[in-house]
Amino acid sequence: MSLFRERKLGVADRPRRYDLPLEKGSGGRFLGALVGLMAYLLVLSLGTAIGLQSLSDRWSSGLEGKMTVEIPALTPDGAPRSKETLDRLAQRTASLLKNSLLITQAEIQSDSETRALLSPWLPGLADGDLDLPVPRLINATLADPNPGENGLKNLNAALYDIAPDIRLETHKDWLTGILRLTGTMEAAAFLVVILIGVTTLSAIAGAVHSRMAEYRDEIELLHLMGAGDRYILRQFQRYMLRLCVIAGLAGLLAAALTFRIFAHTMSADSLENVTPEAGFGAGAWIVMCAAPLILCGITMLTVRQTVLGVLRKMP
Amino acid sequence: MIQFEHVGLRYGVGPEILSDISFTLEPGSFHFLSGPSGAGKTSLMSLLYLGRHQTRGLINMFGQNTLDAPRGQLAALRRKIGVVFQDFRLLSHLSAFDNVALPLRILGRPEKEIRNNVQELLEWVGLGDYLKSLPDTLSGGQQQRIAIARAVITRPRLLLADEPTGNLDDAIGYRLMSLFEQLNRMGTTIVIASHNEGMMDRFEHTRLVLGGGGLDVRPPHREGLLSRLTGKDKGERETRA
Repeated sequence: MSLFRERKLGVADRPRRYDLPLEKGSGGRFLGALVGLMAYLLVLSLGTAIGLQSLSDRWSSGLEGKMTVEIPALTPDGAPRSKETLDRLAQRTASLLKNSLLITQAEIQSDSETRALLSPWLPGLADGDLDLPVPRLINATLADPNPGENGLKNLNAALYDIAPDIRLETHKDWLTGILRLTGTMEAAAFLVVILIGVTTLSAIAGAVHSRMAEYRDEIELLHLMGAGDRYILRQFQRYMLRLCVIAGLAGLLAAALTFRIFAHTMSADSLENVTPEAGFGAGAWIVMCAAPLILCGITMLTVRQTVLGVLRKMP
Repeated sequence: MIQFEHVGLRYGVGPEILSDISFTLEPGSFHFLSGPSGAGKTSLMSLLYLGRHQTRGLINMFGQNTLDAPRGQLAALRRKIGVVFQDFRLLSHLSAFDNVALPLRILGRPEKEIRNNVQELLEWVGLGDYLKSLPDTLSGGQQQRIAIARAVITRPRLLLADEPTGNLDDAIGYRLMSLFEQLNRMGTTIVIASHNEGMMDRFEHTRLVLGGGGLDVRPPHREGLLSRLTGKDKGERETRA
């Protein structure tokens, strides 16, 4: 039975949860909404940070220590190279790479694989609707992820002898840029997580202060009946814990729903072909589920410090 | 048990409301606290229930100097005291039952014991049918009886009551005074603040009379009505203040 109904009827239908009228008024609903919103933003920021971290990890592990050699489909004069020429040049290049001490593995990428790789930018290339010459690629694994300048220079010179327009790409330059960008975004997301934490705790401390001022007479009465500070503290902690768990779960569910919508949007836009798979693993979900609980724990500590601080000033 | 020595109290920088108050309450004693309005009865009561600290002098309660007592010790001291406030101070969001149960819950008593004791006491004060009623829906007299039940539910060592029969008719007032007498016979020290001369005249107890900031201790001047009715000699329990 709601407090309003009880007041209307003049009878209480069940023993009250708290000795203090903590459930009275709209302050509790506001606090619940605030904690729910903060939990939502916290999980969202944390998920973004984890997603970016996972993305950069996949990029790094996928491309670090790798090298791609490209045999252009067109000669420097603009004339197309025949399939046979491309095959021959690819075989010579692969053979050269396999014999190099810098390389542990070299594999010619098939024409169909290359077409599939380019299809997000050139629709129709993979299924043959678009007839464009595509370069031949040879994927190689470096013995040392950071080969010396001289080694690469010598390799480049050897490739020049096969064909002067053969290009060697270690991915290092653009990968460094991408990783720096994702690193910055990750740091920003973690900063948001910290800001959310600090804001939540300040808001909760303020709300507890104002509630204690509102119920000063009742708190004083409990004191006069012999209630210790910890008894009164437990009232606030039980109330806040219940509020935090409910609001935190609501925030978590809302964030999970938002991630689901993001994932659906990315899928609809065929973005999964451009970026590595950015879904969350079990570990990420555990961290995100733990976030509202940690928020609850920190909230309990804040409530404890605030309530005991105020009570110490009372007689 | 309770000793006041040269106690003074002032609010802020104002004049002393109580000055140089000295008296002793022995265990099991019964005192009336009287005096004209504004004489400081409520202030003295607030010192007794540890609602505030004196500005000078020494108060010793249950063997503990109240000024030196740490917070935890103060809470333990307060648990030995039951208070009936003049304005009742009931918690409006709690039912009559929960209001009376509050001191037992603070003591951490089991719910079953709380249920039995509270129900029994509320029935005794005539509120057995109002267990679930919220205080705001009850009359002044009914609220006062809840306040009294709350104060005595733990059988405190010291019971302080500020005008406890003010809103009650004579029959119920007399019945509640009998309850206080019974508690007193079981060893509870009782101090009742009142300006109801008629009521005080009916009982043979020492009076602490406040006036002009000071305190005058007056021994019982005649046999109280209750003593005459019961034929018991209450003099041996009286305490020289």
